[in-house]
Amino acid sequence: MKENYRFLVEKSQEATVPWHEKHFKFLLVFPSVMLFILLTAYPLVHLIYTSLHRFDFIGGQFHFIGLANFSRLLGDERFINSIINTLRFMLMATFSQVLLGLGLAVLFNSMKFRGKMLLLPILILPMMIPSMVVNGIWRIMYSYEFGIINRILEGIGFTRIGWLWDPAIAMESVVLVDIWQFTPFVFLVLFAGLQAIPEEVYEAAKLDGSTKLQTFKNMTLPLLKHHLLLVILLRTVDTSNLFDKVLVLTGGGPGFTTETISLFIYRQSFVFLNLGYGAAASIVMLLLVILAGGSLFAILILGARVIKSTFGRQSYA
Amino acid sequence: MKVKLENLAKKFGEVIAVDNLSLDVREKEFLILLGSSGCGKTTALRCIAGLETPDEGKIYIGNKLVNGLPPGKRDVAMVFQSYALYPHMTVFDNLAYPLKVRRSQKDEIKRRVKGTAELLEIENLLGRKPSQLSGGQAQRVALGRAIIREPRVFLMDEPLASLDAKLRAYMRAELKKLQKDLGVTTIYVTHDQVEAMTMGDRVAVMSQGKLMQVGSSEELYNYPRNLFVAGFIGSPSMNFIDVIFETRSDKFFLRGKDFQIELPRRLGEMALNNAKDFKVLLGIRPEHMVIGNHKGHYTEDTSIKAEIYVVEPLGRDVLVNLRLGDLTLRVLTPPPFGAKMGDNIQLSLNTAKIHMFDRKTEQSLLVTKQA
Amino acid sequence: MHKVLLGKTRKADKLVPYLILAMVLLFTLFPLYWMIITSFKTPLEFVARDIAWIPTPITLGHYGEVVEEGFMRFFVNTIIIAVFSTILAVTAGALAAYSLTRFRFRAKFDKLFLLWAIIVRIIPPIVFLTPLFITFRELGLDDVRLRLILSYQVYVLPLCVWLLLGFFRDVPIEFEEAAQVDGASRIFTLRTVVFPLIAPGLVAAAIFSIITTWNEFIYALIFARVSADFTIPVGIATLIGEYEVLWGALSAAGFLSSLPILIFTVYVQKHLLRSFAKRGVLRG
Ligand SMILES: Nc1ncnc2c1ncn2[C@@H]1O[C@H](COP(=O)(O)OP(=O)(O)OP(=O)(O)O)[C@@H](O)[C@H]1O
Ligand SMILES: [Mg+2]
Repeated sequence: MKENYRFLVEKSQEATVPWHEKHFKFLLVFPSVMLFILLTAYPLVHLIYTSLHRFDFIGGQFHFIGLANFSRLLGDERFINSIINTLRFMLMATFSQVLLGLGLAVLFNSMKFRGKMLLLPILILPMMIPSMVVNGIWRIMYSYEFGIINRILEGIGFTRIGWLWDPAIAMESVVLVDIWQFTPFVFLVLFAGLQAIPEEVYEAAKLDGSTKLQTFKNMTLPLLKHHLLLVILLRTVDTSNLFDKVLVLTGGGPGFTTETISLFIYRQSFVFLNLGYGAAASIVMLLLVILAGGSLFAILILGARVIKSTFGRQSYA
Repeated sequence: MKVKLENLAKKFGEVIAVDNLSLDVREKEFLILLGSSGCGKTTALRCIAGLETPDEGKIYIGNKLVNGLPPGKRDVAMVFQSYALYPHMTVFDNLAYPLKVRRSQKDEIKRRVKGTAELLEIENLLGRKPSQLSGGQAQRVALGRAIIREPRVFLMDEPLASLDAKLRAYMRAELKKLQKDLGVTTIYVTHDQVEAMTMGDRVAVMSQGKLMQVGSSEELYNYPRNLFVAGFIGSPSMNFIDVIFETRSDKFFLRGKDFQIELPRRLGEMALNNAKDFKVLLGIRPEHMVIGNHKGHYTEDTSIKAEIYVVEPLGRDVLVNLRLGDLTLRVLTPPPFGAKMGDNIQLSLNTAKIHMFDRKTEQSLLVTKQA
Repeated sequence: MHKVLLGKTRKADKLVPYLILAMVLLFTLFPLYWMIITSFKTPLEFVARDIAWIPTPITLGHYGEVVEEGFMRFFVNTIIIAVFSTILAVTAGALAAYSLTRFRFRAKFDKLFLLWAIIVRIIPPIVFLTPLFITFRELGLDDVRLRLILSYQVYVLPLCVWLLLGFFRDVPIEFEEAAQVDGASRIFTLRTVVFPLIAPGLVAAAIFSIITTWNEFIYALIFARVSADFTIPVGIATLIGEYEVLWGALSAAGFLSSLPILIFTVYVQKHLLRSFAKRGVLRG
């Protein structure tokens, strides 16, 4: 918090102050703290407990088996495969969304025409509608025989493509859906960031005779740093959860080519009822995500610092 | 209602905002807290209001110790520098807020809002939102919100700071009259000397959290107790010259590098009583020196040779910067002023208006030991 | 000669952004268009030799199917769950965010709380699924709606806290201090001064929360075992079989369930942009 930030006074020795005034600050955080404990902290303890057990669903009993679930996981090729798939998806989706979103935001910000702002809600439509609806639309469009995409391809002389069947491109098809759905999100955040940059910055740059590319590199990018950082982090974190798309588009297939960690855990826990095994996988996933998120954050922050200290403040001037 | 501070102290981490501050504010008095930016005026005021908990010291309002009493129970009203008018309420609702808090009757609220609005001549603004008010109007509403409660003490934090110069001058007089009419003890924070000198019954000068001197405007101007007050009060500020204090054959002299001044006997004796060292600081205000040898007014002995450096016409006066060896002195003189840069002139001091300070303690040497 | 050429490229240059924007719009809108017209097509048109760009004749049959599938019930479930989780999250989040911005806490409680909120935002939701399931059973919470309202706090509570934190920080503390000096109690100040001032923040938090909970799938999938408890996303998922997809019903249900959100979006886009400029803490 800021150094000069002010707080409200609380100390008061007078006995006439009612107790709810005295403990006001605790009363206010109490509901949230309780919700967090009940819904996150306590379940995490449960998760650890479950991961050390084998669930016998005939008797409904947990049997302690130590770290056996974890050692089994390390040798489970299907689990390793799901980690690799998830990483592939995260990289492809985040990279293309940030690139496209940034391009679109810069383009849109530089354009001036009447009614521009009315286009904004249209451009962000895909991120607003339910994920499951998005999946439904694309499942229909990807359909091999009668899907509109293949029919258009045929119409212009190509052969049909097994978008969701072909192991070579099934994951890319899923990525495309995610691009359609969430590039608008990246665009919106970055566009809001661009809007916050005062016009004078660009005018000053123009007067200094810097080219468009220079302006982008020296002004726009540094000033947009925080927004970029934010979307990269959010998209990385969110793409790591990939579940509903693969569940209804590919079912994790063909084979296991699109099975993600989330899907793996879902199947272990709720289809095969290997609660202990699923919990162990959850813990591994949790550690991976926090590790990945933390190191990404560190890399981005440190990277930005290094750049700043190398190039000094000139990039802002 | 009296307000009394005893050894008040408040730190923010390493920063000492208020340092051992003791102050008596008299019944119905208009007391000004004056000091440069960051000297702890606001912090002191906020301690009195109860918005800040002091680290040490006692605060009395009336005869009651109010440390530990929440702000709402101290029966003080505060005018914030930013006015803090609730932006989502109309002027009427802003004025009525303190009464609503006290669960006053609807009719009673209406009556008092109307009365206050009349007093401040803002009846026609009652339906507006704060964003639709000019600076001066917003300022009046803020005042109104303080007045309407009929509190025991007013606390005001630079209420005129954001007004333009003309309006500020007008409001100074208004506010002073209002305070006298209402007869409510008022503590008023400002860093503006003119405000302090014209409005207050007494002025308390603060520096770095410490109280430097309390007194009427005349006292502060004529008898500054220390170097800080001497330099702070008065504009342009006082000149200071390193001199040696001497007594020779029953006479008192201040000897500088290339001049010597004989002190009036009264001042000399006082200084002799207080001085611990013969090296002292001579203080003289720009308005207490005259350029040229004014016979009959100042004596021959007090004249000093100096060279004109920069001349700044200020309108009513001319501010002349003089070179005296490696010293620069500022002198106020009436226009027209013919001399140019580089001219050599004679400078006369009004010796009755001389101040003397101990170089180490920075305390004035011209005080009679009194309570 | 050169000048003319230069002029021409300049003109073309100016057109390029519009061309790109048009393509983006086409890419964005086409799937939505396709969903809407598919919902009005007869099954024959799905497989007709020529692509049916505009449905002729228009049929409302698929909407009937949707109703038959029990979507009215899913709608009610979803609305109840979205509204109550939003009320809970915005209230609890606003109170906590206010307390954290305005009061000092010992032992870095405030920083730990906020850090925990971020960690929860980062943890994949599926991780909480099994243990939440067990926790609810332990507590004897059987009602599916209640279970979902509570579990959705995992998504929306951190979001509300962080979003509102920014709004509270932007409100000068003087307003509250003025009220305090005037003798207002803490609760009265909160009600009459603070909350009215951050109303835009509350609206923004509510919008994000409603959208998130309206669209949520995975918790609803696990907690709703019988169709009476389904939410819209789960209902839609049942229309997407592994081998067979009910195109018409799926499109109709998709269109219907997007409609409230679409209208909502157009209506509140001003708020959206503003809060994104502040802090874009949205779970995608
Ligand atoms: N909440 C706070 N946290 C940390 N330091 C503070 C806080 N409030 C004031 N200070 C510090 O205490 C000192 C005195 O501040 P204060 O606001 O009382 O000065 P002031 O005399 O009112 O100045 P100004 O004329 O600029 O308003 C300053 O150095 C200031 O930075
Ligand atoms: Mg101040």
